[in-house]
Amino acid sequence: MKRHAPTLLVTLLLCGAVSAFAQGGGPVSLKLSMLAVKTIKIDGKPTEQLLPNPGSVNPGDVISQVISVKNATAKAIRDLPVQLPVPKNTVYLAPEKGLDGTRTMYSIDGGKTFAAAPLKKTITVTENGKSVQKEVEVRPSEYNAVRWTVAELGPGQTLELGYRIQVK
Amino acid sequence: MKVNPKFLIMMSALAAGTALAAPAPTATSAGTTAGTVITNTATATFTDPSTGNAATPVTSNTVNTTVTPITGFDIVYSDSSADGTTAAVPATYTEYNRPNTLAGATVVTAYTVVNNSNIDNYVVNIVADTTGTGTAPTSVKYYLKTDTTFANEIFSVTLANGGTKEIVQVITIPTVATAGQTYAASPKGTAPAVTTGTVQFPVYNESSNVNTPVTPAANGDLQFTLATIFIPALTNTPNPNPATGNTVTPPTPTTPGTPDNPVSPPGTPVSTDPTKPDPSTSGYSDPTTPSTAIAQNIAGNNQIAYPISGTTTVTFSNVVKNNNSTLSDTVRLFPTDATNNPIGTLNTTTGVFTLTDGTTVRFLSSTGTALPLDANGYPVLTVPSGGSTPYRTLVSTFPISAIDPVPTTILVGVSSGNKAGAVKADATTTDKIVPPGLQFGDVPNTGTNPDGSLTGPGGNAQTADPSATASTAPVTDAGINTDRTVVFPMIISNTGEYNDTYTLQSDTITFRNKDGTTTAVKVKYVDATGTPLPTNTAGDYFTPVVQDNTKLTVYAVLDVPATAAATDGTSPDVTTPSATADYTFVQKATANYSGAVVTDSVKDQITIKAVGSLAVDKYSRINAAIDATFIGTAAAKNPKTANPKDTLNFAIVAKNNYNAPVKNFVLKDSNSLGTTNVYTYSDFQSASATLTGFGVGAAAYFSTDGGTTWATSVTAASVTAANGVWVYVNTDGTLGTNNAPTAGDVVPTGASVQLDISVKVK
Repeated sequence: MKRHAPTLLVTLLLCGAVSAFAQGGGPVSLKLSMLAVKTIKIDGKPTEQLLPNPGSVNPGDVISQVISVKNATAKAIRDLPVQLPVPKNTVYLAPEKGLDGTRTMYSIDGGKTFAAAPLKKTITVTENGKSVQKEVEVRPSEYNAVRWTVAELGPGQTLELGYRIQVK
Repeated sequence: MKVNPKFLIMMSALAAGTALAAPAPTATSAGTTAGTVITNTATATFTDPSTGNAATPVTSNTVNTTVTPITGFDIVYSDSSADGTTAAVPATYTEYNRPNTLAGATVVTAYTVVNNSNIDNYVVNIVADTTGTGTAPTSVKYYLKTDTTFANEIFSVTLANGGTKEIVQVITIPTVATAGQTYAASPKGTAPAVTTGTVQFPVYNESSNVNTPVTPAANGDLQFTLATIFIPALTNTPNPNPATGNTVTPPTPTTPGTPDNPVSPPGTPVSTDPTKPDPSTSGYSDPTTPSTAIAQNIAGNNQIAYPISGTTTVTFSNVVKNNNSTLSDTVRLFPTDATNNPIGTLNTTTGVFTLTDGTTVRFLSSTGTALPLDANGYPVLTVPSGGSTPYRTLVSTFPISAIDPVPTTILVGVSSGNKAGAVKADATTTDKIVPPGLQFGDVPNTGTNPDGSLTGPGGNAQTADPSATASTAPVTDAGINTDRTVVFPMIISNTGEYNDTYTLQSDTITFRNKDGTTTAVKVKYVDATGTPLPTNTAGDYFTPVVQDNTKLTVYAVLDVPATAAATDGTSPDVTTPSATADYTFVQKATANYSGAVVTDSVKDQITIKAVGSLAVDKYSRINAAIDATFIGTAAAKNPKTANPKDTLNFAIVAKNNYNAPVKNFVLKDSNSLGTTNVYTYSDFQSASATLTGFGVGAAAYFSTDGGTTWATSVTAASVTAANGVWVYVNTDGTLGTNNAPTAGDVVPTGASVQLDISVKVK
């Protein structure tokens, strides 16, 4: 049974040590990394190289955002939602390769609502001089937040989630 | 990511495939503004299994990275024409290649600075590049396009990320710029480096620009504006279609003119000299003086006016053409010379030019109205671009020498009003006047010019001998005074500047014959071969064409009648001429085209020689009177034999067979040789005289004392053997001492005196 999540304010009043549950400490910890994706040639073959913590990036550069989720408790945690916005001045490209992609949902309204791909939206077009409503598919470049729901994270387990963005 | 904006624009224009105006240049930002921090934080909520508390929030660490600056900008033509030009801007760049720029003008052209970096508040410095300009402009300055009064000169612009700024370049042309000079300038940009602060980046020059990927920047990637100073493109010519004035239709020449059509076109024979056309080619008549024909030589850009004698004003029709297809031109008109500078003195109130020889030149509209004057008094004419405007050139009081006229040539200059500097002819045309002139008179004693003061060749009257033969052709030698023909060589000097033919009036002389009758003879004109010149229906002669500045000798010729009475060598043109005065005649030459008339000022004179003899015959008859019948017999003069007491009749007949009266005539019955006097052997009976052919009042007077005393009759007693009988005829009514003859007593031509003497043989 899921308890109704209290408001953040209540949570803050009750749990003065929220920060204790931030990076590194607490039963669940999230560690976020930003890596610059570079393509170099090794023996004539283009090869991808990921460079962590780029101090600066050029417009057009691809960045890989990876979250490391750790269950520091002794029990398994189920149905854990993890959320990472698409930062300003970047566009969503694609999920990070080789990571868990289960139950990934996307938002185009700044994180208010999420849905699984493909998302749809309604637009108004003019056909034969009349305004008509049309349902179209949302492109990934329109995503501005991503939420994973981790089904189960075992005690002491670490899971990596992530996606790639491109600097505008 | 940087994409060249111009490339995209050109591509879209090509794809559209229609001739739409190119879109205004836009910038292509390199991306997110430099210095922007990209930051993110992950969140999660979970149910704490140890507490069972649901929705426990967790946040991750925050990650940051900063966007680096990418430099880049361009300055481009605001109409999106391809940049990378030099001072030789293509003519197809109609906005940036400006022919017909006037001196002192400002040339304003539009440019756009585009920010192709990702840097916000990107500063681009702008300077003028005049590499390759023909002449340095007075100044080149830049302003924001919105600064329409050019109040604030700018030296840089600041651009937002992805932004553009519209500027204008103002080239100031010197006021003394001359035709054809070129002035070129381009804005050149440099974005300086920033080496302090949070966003730092290196310098970026416009020449670093790559117009299309892989293609290097051409010509430093500059974008020139080229201004070329207006070049006057004027022509000034005769007006081939003068609106007023009739087309000249000269008389058709026949060779060299028919007797009743002696008028010749001035150029006849047809001139092959293109500098001397005549009205037999195309032309028109002076609109204000239709008697003046004006011939046009369009190819030679001149026209020649042929005024008749007495014309002092000529109006030419000219036209200015403006071959510049863009600008109208208000030109100045003036007389000029080879220097192309105006000549003469200009009256700034009337716009009339007076040349050093007194000729006045005035320019009028094609309908003869006054032209407006500019601030310096020059007459002006406005000629639309690509169009023509006709005008008139009025030339007056040009010199016409009485001795040797010369042409008056006016070189008309036209100066463009769209150029700087002094008035100077950009095109000229020639309006020429050839005045007529004529001299006529006798062949001179020295030199070659006719001399109207002479009465004949050598300054002497011509003498004719009526008893001689008439000369045979060619009758041109005036030196012979021994025949019946008189010849007066005359010179027609065409001192004028165009050819003409001349009509010679043929005068008639009425000669007094020795028998008292008269004979009228017409003067004839012949040429050097002795052939008579052609005559018209009035009987006047006309010459062939005498070319300008050449002379023709003609000969006035006349055969004096054989019956003409002698003249005394005096002129008949005195107040009281003698009854036997010489003859004179009028000679008048009239130019057939110009109308000039010259009369031989002192009439030429003819003297008739006295020829003939005084015949004296003596007849004798015995015992019978001598009558006219007896005189006619063969025996009348034979010696006779007489007997004593026979009556011996003598008749001495003296006849004046001269063509002139005889003076100092005394008929004597005595022999100067002293042979036997009849009165020695006979007795005087009577003497009488019969006068024939004398006028009324003539009376015979006799003398028996050797001319000392005279009386109207003879007494027998007074006759002596020594003196005989003398007789004279008193014709002048005046008697000398003792009734002696006087100088005025003459025996008229053909008159005779018969002295009859009767004696009786002792």
